[in-house]
Amino acid sequence: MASSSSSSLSRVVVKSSDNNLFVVNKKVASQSQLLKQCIDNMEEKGTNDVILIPLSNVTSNILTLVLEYCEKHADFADDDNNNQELKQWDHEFLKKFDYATLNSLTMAADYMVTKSLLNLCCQFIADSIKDLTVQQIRQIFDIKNDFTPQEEADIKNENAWAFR
Amino acid sequence: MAVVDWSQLPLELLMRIIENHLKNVKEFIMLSRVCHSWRDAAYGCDISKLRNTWSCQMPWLMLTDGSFGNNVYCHPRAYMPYSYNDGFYCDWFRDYDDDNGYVIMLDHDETINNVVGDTSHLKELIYRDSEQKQDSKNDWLTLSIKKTCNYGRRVLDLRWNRREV
Repeated sequence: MASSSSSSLSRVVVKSSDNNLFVVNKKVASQSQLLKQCIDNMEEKGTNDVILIPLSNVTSNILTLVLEYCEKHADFADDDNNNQELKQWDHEFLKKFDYATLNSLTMAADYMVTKSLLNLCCQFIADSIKDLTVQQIRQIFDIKNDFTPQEEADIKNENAWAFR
Repeated sequence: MAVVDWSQLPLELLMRIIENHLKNVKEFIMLSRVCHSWRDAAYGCDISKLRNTWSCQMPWLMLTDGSFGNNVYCHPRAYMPYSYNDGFYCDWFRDYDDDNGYVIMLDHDETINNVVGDTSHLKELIYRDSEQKQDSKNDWLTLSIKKTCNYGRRVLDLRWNRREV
């Protein structure tokens, strides 16, 4: 293989926490700042070997989803951000998942520094809270109410800050 | 697959959601009441910054439970679209004012929509004085709470004041 000082790597291998390997093309991987950083570092060192990036916090089913997202966004990387088709795709993408998956996906997006995916997830979470009562929020996110009755009573008297 | 616990979402992620993705004070309050960790996240945010983000989305009248005295406020640019199914009568209420009117109340029921914790309908609590029909700018909007205190404002005023009836 001829070596060239720039863009010598076309692919990387990413390893999930449960030890599955994913071969990812560089353009796709670059959607994640974490992976991009790894690639850049290796390229600076002039490595020509395929590099292996272990992601100890991301399981393979979640990694599959993140990579699906990255692939789609890599396709549109040269377009401007307001691509309507991409937005539509984003919207449909998250709708497929349950809240448990959404949780893992959000954490993975954060860990892999995939900013647009993280924003997408956060917005989705915020949107699902909208118009719900506290009870309903606990229900859909399956969160236990860990306040004591006394704390609950105190909290209800506490909202005056909004108006000062 | 590992069990997911939303209350264990890292603080920084929760704060990110709160600071960048919530649209109004109602969402903030709801979120802060869910559990300890969400509450910590909510109050870990820079609240004055949040208030700025929401500035055009504050309600023009907001009552907290109990002591209404100092807690009746309104905001000139208030707007928050109303969408409770079982809520207060926003559609009706909007008729009252030129634009964006709505009322938000926090009560003993931990919902925002039940007025003062009893069965009173907002519809019955707020009415327009009609003595001066010719000059609608001077109409009083009056809010009576459990018949013990009344607040009123002229249509174009912003602040509600305690009003002798």
